[in-house]
Amino acid sequence: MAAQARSPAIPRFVTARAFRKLVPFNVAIALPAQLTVLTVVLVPTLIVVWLSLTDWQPTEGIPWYRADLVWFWNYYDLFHDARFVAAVARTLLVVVACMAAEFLLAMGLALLFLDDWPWRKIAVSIIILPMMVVSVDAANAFFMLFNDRGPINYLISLIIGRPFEFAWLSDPTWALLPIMLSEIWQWTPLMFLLVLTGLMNLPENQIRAAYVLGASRTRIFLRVMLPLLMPVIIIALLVRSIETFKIFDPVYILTRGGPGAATETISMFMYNGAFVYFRIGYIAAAALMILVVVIAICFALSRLLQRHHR
Amino acid sequence: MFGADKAWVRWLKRTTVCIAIVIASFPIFWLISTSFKPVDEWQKFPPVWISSQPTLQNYRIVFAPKAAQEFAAKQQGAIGYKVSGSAWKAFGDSAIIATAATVLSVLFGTLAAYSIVRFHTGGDSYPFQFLTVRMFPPIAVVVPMVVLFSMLRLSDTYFGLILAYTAFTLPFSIWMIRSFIEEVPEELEGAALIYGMRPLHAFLKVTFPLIQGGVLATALFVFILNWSEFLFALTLTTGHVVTVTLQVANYVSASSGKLYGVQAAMGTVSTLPVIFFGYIIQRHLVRGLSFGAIKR
Amino acid sequence: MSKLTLSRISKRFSGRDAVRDLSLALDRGEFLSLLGPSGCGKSTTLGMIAGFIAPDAGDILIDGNRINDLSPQQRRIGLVLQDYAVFTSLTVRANLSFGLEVKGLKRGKRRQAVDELARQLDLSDLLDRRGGSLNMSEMQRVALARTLATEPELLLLDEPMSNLDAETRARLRGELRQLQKSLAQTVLYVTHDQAEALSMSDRVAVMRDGEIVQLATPHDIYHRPANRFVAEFIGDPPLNVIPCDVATDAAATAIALPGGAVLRSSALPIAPGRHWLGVRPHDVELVATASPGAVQAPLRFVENFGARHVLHAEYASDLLRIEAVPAARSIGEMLHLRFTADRVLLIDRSSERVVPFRQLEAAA
Repeated sequence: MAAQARSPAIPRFVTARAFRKLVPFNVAIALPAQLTVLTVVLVPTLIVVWLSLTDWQPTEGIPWYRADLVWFWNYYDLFHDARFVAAVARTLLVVVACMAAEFLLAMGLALLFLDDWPWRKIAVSIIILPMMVVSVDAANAFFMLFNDRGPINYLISLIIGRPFEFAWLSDPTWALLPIMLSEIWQWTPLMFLLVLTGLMNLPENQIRAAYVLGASRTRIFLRVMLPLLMPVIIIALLVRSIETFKIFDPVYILTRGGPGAATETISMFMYNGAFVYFRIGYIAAAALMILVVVIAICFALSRLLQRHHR
Repeated sequence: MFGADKAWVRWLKRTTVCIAIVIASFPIFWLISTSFKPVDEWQKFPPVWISSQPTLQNYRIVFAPKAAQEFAAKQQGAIGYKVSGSAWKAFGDSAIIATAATVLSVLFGTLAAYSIVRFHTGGDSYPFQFLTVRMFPPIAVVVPMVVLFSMLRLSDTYFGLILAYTAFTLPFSIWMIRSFIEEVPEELEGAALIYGMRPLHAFLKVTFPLIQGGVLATALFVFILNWSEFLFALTLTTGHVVTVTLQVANYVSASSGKLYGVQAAMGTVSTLPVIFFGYIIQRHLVRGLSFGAIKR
Repeated sequence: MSKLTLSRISKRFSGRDAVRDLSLALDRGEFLSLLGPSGCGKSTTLGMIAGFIAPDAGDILIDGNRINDLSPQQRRIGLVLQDYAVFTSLTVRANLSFGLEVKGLKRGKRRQAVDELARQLDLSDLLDRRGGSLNMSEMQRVALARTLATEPELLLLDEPMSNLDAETRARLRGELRQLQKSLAQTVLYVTHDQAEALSMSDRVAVMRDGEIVQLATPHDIYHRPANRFVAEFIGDPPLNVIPCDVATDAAATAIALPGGAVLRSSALPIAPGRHWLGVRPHDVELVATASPGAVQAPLRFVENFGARHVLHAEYASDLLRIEAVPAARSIGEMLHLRFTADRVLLIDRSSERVVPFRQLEAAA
């Protein structure tokens, strides 16, 4: 036909036009990002919802979509699973302890860097070094440091005056400490940077005014500087506690959750459950529970932040 | 600002800073130092701070499979050694995956950020939706992702990992680049639009050159995240694709962590690019790690 | 003994003299303004008195005690900065009681003092508002109240009105002065606005390039300026400066103005030759017709300020400003002007100092 004898580009042009009409420009360019996230996040989440209602174990040989439904028994079992509950409690402990330590150390250190002094810039560069190390390598380093005959034990034996060859990573009570120290070591510099940025952006004149009114440094810090720093502190704590909650790399490298399950955090619990014991359905339920709680908390907190911004 | 400190206060401050510097650098120092130690110094007690007989043997083992095999043979089971493959493969795989994922993340992220800032796409809460992605414990998503990937034949492929990395670094890309775009006044593009330019064109010709530095910093930041990533690499691959983080973990697990020197060598070498890039984007680290909320 | 004594203080910043050998004595209960253009050193002086800047030389004394070595905390001085620096994350009440908390006053006493102060400065309705939610003039009152709460020996104010609109400024001048009088508070007030300085102060120190050029009452500053700089800086519209020829002998001095008029006075310590004559626009009289002692100048344009007109007439190849009652005038019309006796200022060309004189008579 005459129409088809013309340039074959016309059908393509028409389709592109139609697309442009149906989909506004701004949505179109946000689509690649949106689709990637949907595929990699939303679809797996849907799968998790399904799996959490089943008792699927890949070792049984049946495909996942044909697994037996056990409905809410997974959740029931989880609530009564001492190991799971312990993992949750342990993770919360790790988050609180690491946050407290990171914040206090960061604040103390940041106050020392408020004024200018020689080599201040170089000191900052060295202090933020831990942040820029790959986390498995940091964990690796701590693994070697806390070896029974490693430098940490050596230093302790120097201090207490007798030989000290404690096997940190095999001790059920203490194995969590190297893990937490690895995390604190790596991320305190970030808190430090955030707090320092906040401190340096403080309105100087308010501090001068407080000074002239006779206030001591402590009073100025507590009553004038801290309230002004609150937004920065909240953001820092929020961001870091979310990341700490997900802690995995140091646990895997240092102890794998052991000895036994003494250092199992939530991520480690789920990893072991899924990739060592292959109880995928069960772990899917755990994953969903954690997901819901995390989203709820973050939703609430982001509302708080949005209101604070206004 | 507070006036001169008393002498002992100044001394205390200086000492604290020195202690902080020592603590910050000691583990890295130990890692690097151990990587040059010969086998007999690995487990010595008292520990060897700096080797008296520094050697490149560990690095050779890491990079050259032949040296690794010779080493394993020499050990005769005294230190179990089951790691195959050389660091070159790990570096290559990491480089491919990290670079590709970074390019995609920054590309998609810039377009999405532009859409959000200039067109208010998706309303007030849209950017926060991307933030929730970051809040998912990856382990929660990994389990179904393994299932999904095996269905889509994406297990243990470069593309699969690249896809996963892109999705999980998009929140950073979008929020960081968004904060950069917000600093450029809309009027500049408006002027171009008056001249008849299409919106995307206006963005690329007018705004983008102004945020180039920021976009580059974001790219390096995302690259660092991708390079350091461990969990996805661990669970979404089964041996064909090996990233540097995996390789490090392999050394530790294969030998119950006894291969100190070799582990240290692999560790040192794998962390160097990240340290290097990290220092380049030092100024932007605060902005990145607080999702653009806090700026210098 | 004076409340505040500055004795030969000086400060240099990277090669430039910000304050040079400055001395000043402020009496208890006095309101003294440091007046001058930007860069004259007035804020630096304030900074040294407050304790944030250390003087290179000289002494600062409060009630006779040298305070150079005291930190700002230890000097019992109040300071209100240009941007007020209200504690934005605290309530107004917390702002006001801040200084009292420092002193250790008990809660009940504090509350009483804060309520009283809030009443005096009309802040009672704002006590529970957050510092960051106030507008500029509210912040100013809070900053003032906050510092008055501590009953400082000396109150330093650094251009506190510059962030406010003209109407608020006009109103606040009177209020501030009344408040100061009722509290008998010693105040050192820094400003570049001569209307503020003249209307509020007991004495004014005019500063330029780090030095005090003249320290006197507002009346003397206005009517007996020490030199050309002060004469020109003070007064709105600005002073007219006219070239004149001076001839002296042992008995009398004759000042010949362009256009023919001559002024005579007793013998003055001034060399004969060309000098300047300063005339305030307010002191130029319009006379109906040409008369002895009057000069002529064609009208070039009129500034209409409603209640008064400022006429600009061409005289001695320059524009002369004349303040006049509103009336119908036409451009180009020839004006006949006479300079009010006893009000003109003779300015020595070389030293730029004003030479006081008494006019004997005006003659053609």
